[in-house]
Amino acid sequence: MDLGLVWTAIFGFLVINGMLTAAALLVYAERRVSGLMQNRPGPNRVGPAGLLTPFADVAKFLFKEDIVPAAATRFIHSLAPVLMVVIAMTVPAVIPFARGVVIADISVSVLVVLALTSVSVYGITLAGWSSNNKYSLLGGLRSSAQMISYELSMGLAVVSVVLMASSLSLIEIVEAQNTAWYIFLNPLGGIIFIITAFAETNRAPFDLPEAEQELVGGYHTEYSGMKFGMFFLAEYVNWFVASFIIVTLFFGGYLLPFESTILSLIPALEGTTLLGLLQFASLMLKVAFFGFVFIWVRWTLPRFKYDQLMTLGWKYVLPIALVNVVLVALGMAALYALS
Amino acid sequence: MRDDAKNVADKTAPHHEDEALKFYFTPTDPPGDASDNPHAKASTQVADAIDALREAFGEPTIGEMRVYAGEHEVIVDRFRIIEVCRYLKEEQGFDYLSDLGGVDRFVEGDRFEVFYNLISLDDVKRIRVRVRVDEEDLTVPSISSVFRGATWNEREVYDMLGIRFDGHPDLRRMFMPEDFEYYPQRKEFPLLGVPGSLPLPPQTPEGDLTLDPFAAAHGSKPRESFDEPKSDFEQSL
Amino acid sequence: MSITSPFIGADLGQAFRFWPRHNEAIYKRLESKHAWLEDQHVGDGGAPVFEDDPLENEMILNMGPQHPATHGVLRCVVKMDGELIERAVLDIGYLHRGIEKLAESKTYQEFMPYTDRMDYLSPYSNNVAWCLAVEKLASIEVPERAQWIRMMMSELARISSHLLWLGVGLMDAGAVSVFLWTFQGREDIYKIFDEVAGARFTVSHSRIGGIASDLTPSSLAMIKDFVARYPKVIKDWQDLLNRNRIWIDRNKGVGTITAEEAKELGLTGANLRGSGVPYDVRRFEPYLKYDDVDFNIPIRTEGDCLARYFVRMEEMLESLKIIEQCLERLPEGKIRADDAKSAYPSKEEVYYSMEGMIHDFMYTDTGVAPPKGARAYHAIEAPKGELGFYLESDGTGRPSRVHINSPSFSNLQALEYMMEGEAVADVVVLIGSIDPVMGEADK
Repeated sequence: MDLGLVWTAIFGFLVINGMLTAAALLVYAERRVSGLMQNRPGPNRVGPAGLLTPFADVAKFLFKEDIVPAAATRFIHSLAPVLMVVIAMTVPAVIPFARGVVIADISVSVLVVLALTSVSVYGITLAGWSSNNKYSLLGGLRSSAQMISYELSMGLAVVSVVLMASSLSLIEIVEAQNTAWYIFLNPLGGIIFIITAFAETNRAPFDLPEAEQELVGGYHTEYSGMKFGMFFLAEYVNWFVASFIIVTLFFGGYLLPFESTILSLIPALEGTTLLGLLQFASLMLKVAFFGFVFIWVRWTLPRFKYDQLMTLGWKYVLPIALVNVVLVALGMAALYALS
Repeated sequence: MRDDAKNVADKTAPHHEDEALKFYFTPTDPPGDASDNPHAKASTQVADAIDALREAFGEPTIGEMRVYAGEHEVIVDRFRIIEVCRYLKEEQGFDYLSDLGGVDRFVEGDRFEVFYNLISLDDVKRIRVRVRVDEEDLTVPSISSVFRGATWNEREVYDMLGIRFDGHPDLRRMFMPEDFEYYPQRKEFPLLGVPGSLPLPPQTPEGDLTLDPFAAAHGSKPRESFDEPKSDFEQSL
Repeated sequence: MSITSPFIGADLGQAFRFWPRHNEAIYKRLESKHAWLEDQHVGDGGAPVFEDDPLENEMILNMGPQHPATHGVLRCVVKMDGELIERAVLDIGYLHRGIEKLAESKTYQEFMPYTDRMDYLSPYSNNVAWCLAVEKLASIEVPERAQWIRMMMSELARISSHLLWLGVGLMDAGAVSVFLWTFQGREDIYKIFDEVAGARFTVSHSRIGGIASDLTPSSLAMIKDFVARYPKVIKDWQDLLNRNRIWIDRNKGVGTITAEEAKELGLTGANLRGSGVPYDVRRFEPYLKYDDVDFNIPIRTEGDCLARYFVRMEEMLESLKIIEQCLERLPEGKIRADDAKSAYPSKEEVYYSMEGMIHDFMYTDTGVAPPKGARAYHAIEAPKGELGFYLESDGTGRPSRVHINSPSFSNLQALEYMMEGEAVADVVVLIGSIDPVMGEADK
């Protein structure tokens, strides 16, 4: 990484603001897409084609009264949403946006991602516990159980990728997919990772911790104003980040489709800014596609029940993930033996 | 224990059965059996079942049979209602309790009635059995041991008319809060309720409990909202 | 904040303590209730499962009366062990308006708008139920055409109610889109009601002795269009849901009620038929023209939420079939009884003849006066189940006693038993599948 500290800081600033804008866009996209799916015009009042709706939302959150229940644990109650947002915003630091464009080039960035996603459960659990509300508590409990169950399978899916790339660095994992995306070499791992990503981000059909209809919002029942806005933001950033990681691990990250072929045809492209921009565009397109998949699933499927969630996690996803790791390991061993 | 006599203080009101009503839009015919009723159903004609009941229980238990609009109904002795229901359920096939309710007849003796609407799903029959209760002893044996579905209906009758059901597993009020002291379906209960009997949450942040939701109808002005400024017109008054 | 009081709201004044005895009674009932779960293991020779709770794992959760999934103001007080419900007590009455009492001070016709507000998802059925009960009490004959129109509109109301059940049931389970789709269906039905009755929601279109106004060609065309379009729409929903793994898993085996239990508990309507008891008032005691049309009564024997789902889905298709036949066989003729003592005169008579005006005035003032001592019960198959009115007359124009046998009330009673032993997430599915309307249950 040849960027200086100042440049890194500026770049990080850009990324954070980019994430915030992207979250706003995702809010808008979600509403528009769900509107399309439900045969209704969708939000189209604020700004041209309703583009300013998320900003109106933010303004609304800011002006709403911030209510802390009398029986809540004040400090933790305020800490929880901050924790959620901070963790969600930290993950992009290790995501490569184009070749050589990453805020923090760490050799164990996969572990960083896994660690950060594990910490985000604290935000939800603490919010659930500190609100001193039974619904929130149930939401927090559900969330911690769900995260723990699915983190295992997620980790195993990542292990299979790490085995194939022989590296813990996201950049090297992306570069290793230059011949073929891992979703084609390791489809089982890819599907498992997508499922667990849904579970880890608490998106439907895994939105049990929130479950508006049964738990009245679950862990964020007692939050209002901008604190609720932060949960909202964290959810959308998490979802965005999850799409990034899915793309990075299994869909070639920033790589253009058939990049090596394109480069061999047009060698002049190698190392230019244009290639970087193209790579960034390709990454964003892939991320946008997964963003759409998240919306699509959310507005189509009913929510799981708690026991079904556990059955799926422990009886199906985890054993398959284990078998997958073994298969990948055997495959890699065979490859090494052959070469 | 709630004092059941509390509600029956006002007994001076005229009784409908005795007094000739002043004005009829149509000259009333005696009820008759209205056999030409266009809505009469074959399913409600259950003279056989009532005859069987009479045979099984005898005259004092099974009272007169009444027919109106093709509906056969029979009055039975309230203390044997469990046996009657069990007999109807097990011997006559009336195995589904469709409805149970109470009536305030507002007369001197045997003021209240409880009716049981039973259905025989196999024979496509519907029978109505009723018992009469006097104000002095407002208890009817509960049939919830025969039909579990009667539980809530009996609670409703207790709530609305104050008839207690002996042997009921859970005799609480159904609709009104437990703190309410009156039986609203009784004829002497005023339509607008008794002010102060049902405290509701305050209507303003600093206000007191709302004791009378129909204050205007009872002649008092409602409390003004706590921060509502007076209009010019109001100030000029 | 005082340290001694565990609940901070306790020192916020009297406002938080209304009805103390009420809550006390509910909690006492919750503690003393004999839950069937306790029997299960005693039967096996083992110890009762929930005998004591040394770790205090149990929690009492108040769901409602303000809760998004309780379809109004139902209050469920549940005692839970983790996510599992051990015991449940339902508390209803938060929407109690005392309409049975109100009816005693209204004329028979005046009471009609109150019936709209009972089962507010299918007002037309309630109107018809009330009119039929009064007509039975007062021996009023209704012209053929009015009967066919009533039948057609009641079936539309049934579809409208089932559409709401479907949408809300799925929304409770987490699938929000279906809710908006079904509301578009309901919107179509509202438009028809608007065209027919002049009101979208609380129609009050039926009249004692007939109906208020005849169908116009445009409203007939709208109904025809609806009947032509909707079988496909419903089929589409069935395609989406009948094989949806999550939806089936969430419904299958949840809240199972056997036929015997269903009869014992007095379940009615689609819930009863979902348990395999073939009881439908349209067949049991055919009213209107139901014995003249050809339709099936869908029945399932499983008795769980999934069975109830299938029953209601098929019922919608059957209703469409009935409406189609009504449209074909709709006879010409009068829409109200031609008798000033039993039905309103037509507006033309009122405007252009003295007698008509007097009749109209007298009918509004006094209305129908059934014979003294008359009593009658008439039930219809409302979307939720058997909706019956028991009426007693004292010879005046006002009923001396109105008792409403409301299906939601009967169904909710069984809900209390169904909830025990299920998970919290099942509560919302169960409430959706029982399909209660609190306006009706609370009377």
